[in-house]
Amino acid sequence: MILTKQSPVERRQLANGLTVITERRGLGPVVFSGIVYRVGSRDEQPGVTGLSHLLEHLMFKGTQRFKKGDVAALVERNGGDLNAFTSEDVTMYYEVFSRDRWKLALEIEAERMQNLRIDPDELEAERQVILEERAMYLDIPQIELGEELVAATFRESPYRWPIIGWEADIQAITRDDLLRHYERFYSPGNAALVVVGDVDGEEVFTEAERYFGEIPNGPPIERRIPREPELRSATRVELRRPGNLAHFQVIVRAPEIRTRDSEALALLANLLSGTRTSRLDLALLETGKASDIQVHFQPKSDPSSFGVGVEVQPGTGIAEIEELVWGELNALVEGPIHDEEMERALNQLEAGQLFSMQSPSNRGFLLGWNEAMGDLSYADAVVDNLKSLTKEELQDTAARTFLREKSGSGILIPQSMQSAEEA
Amino acid sequence: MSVRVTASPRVQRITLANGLRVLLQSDSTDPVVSLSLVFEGGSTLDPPGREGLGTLLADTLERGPRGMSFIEFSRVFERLGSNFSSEAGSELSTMHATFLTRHAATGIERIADLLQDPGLRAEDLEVVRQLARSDLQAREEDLDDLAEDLFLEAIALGHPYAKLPHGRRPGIDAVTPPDLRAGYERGFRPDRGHLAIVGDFDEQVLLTLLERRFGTLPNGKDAPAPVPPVSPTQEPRNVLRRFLEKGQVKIIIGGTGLSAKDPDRHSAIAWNHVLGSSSIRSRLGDEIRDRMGLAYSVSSRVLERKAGGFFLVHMGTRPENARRAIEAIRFELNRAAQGVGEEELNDAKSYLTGSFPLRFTTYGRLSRFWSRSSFYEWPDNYLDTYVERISALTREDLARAAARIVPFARVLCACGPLPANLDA
Repeated sequence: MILTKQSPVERRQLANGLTVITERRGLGPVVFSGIVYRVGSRDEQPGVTGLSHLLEHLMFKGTQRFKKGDVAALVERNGGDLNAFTSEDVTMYYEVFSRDRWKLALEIEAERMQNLRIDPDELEAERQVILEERAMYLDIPQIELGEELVAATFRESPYRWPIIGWEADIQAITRDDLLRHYERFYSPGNAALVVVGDVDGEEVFTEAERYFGEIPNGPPIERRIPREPELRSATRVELRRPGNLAHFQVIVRAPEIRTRDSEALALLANLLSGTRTSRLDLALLETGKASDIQVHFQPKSDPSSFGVGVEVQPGTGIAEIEELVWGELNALVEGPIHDEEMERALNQLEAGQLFSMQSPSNRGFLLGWNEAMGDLSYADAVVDNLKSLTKEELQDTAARTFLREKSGSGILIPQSMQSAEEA
Repeated sequence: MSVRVTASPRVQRITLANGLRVLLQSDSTDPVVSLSLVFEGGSTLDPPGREGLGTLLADTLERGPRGMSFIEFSRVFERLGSNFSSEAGSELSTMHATFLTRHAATGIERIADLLQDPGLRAEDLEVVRQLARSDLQAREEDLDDLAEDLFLEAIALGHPYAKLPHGRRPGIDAVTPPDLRAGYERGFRPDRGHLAIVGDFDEQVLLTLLERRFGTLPNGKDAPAPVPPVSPTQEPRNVLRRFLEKGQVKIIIGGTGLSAKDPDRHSAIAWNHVLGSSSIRSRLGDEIRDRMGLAYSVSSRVLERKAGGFFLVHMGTRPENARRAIEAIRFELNRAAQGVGEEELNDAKSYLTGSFPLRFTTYGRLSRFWSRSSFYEWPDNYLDTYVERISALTREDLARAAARIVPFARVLCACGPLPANLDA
């Protein structure tokens, strides 16, 4: 194993607006390269939901220079890995290579940034693949429940539709829709290149200039994202599906990224279910009332939601779980919050980040994500920000966020429970 | 040219007085220490009627030693910002932990406390049993999991590898605290254990700690018998489960494969890469996903065990495509049985050798690799020679491996809204 020393994160901007970020770190002769675009399902309109995700799939199907399969073959022949993901706010493409061939990633991404070709037959085949992907998700009832709950709770925000899109929209998206989306969002000024690993920073900037420097920037992107009105009453969604396991989900409105409230919620999420002995785990798992707990909070560009999901143990009523979850949420509002649980949660978050950042890929995702979300420095500041939170701040945020009268609740009633009801 | 991954640092191998194999790799890039401890056996040691004992045992172990409650034990690790987990697999029981360097000695001491005198309390067993029951229920309702469980049971019928780590309901219901104690004595013998620690530590200080706390763990009286070799699949078998309410049919086709010690295992890995293990490009992905649009994901896997192995192709598709998908998988399997082309071989070799360093980017990955490497008795120079071994493979090597796998891919497992024409 050849070890590399860490160096500070460096960030520069090319004349065409492309941001370039690099950091030397990691254990082996490995380099992660990723390009992140500020585009996601948030940039879609009703009727063409799923556009960003479908476009991401098509970015693997051919460009002017790379025919279908060429990129995969190039990566494979050079022992690399590549993939991509689409979220609500960003889309990221990435490659991991050994250090002697990392520049191939720039060759691929520079070509994909400017020369996508969409073959109509490829579009139709990929549309079918995505419909299979959606069918796969919907076979998992708690995913379906979560999707329905979000759709019922948000009225205006683009976060109300799933990233993959509604089935009818996936069917209806045209080649022109895709090309317009590509031309609007896939430009240097709307992107950031992140290179992390066993690599020299100056070399990264030189190579970025060489591969991307000549790509013209697009026109400024104007976004008019609808503001989500306040939720004025509690909303309830009920699904009945075959099976034996009931689920309860609850979501409340939560603020956007880089707010003191969103930091407080990140720590509150950890107090609720970050460890084996956190509050919900002791109240629900240790008592045999639930078999799984998920607390979801990923702050986004716009206000989104904070959620708790519970897989209910047979024999326990969903109403009882609902009361127990609200009991724990209210306990955070009313206090006390103990120093010792704060310390455990913070130690877990801090060490967990250090463990995770051993992987250049995880580090690259973190840097790219924060840059695309508006502030690169936040990647390394967030843990210190969490440490500076007081118990009073946590309780204040909890009091303004955990509002039952303005929450959305989803329940999944399994067939076995329906039969019991009928009997 | 490919980059070598293992020039330094060296791995120190020691066998403690009680037979526990220890592998230490010291590296101070990050102030982190990762530990991986495996014991031979896993669910193969579950007695008849106690299927799932290994998992209940692993989960109960996670809850601490005698004299320390579950909350007290868990909070030791939580306060240190560490993580500790214990799990049963099909042939190994594993413990894994990661610490900040400054807390590593404390964390390792607490794991030793656990192994010296595990609590295995009745009340803890009831908590983990309840969770294990729901886990089984969730597996029944997730058709990917269900299909894999049914497939493994069918393929290894009668062999210890057919015992699923998460067990079956009657076994989970039947396990008693004395079963846990007996299972611990049988399954956690130091002379069947392999402990790898990678990261930022002083080797001599750590070794002294390990000799004092791990070297004194007792071996019970009777060592379990070795797992017998897996016999190749002989009879074709269809396992079909109909769930009309689901949207996708999950399909698995496969059979027996090669063991982790088989001389052809590198050939099998390269052949499987061409066929369908690669997420980037493969015959199955190109044909069934990209050209025919029949699946979001289709892949093939080799499951290596010490006394045998398994091979499977797994995909999900909508019911109207199921028949066509099965025919397409069989067509590709038969085509791959003829071997692979020169260009495909070269691409696979480039990928497998070039991507090799990508697999070892954290101490956790390295410690897991070393503990398993010791269990499988791979040679000391495994990492150093991997690239040479892969580079030397020929088309004949891959064809030989294929001939030992494809003819035995005789089990079809399908779960979901099966179309009528599937039974034919």
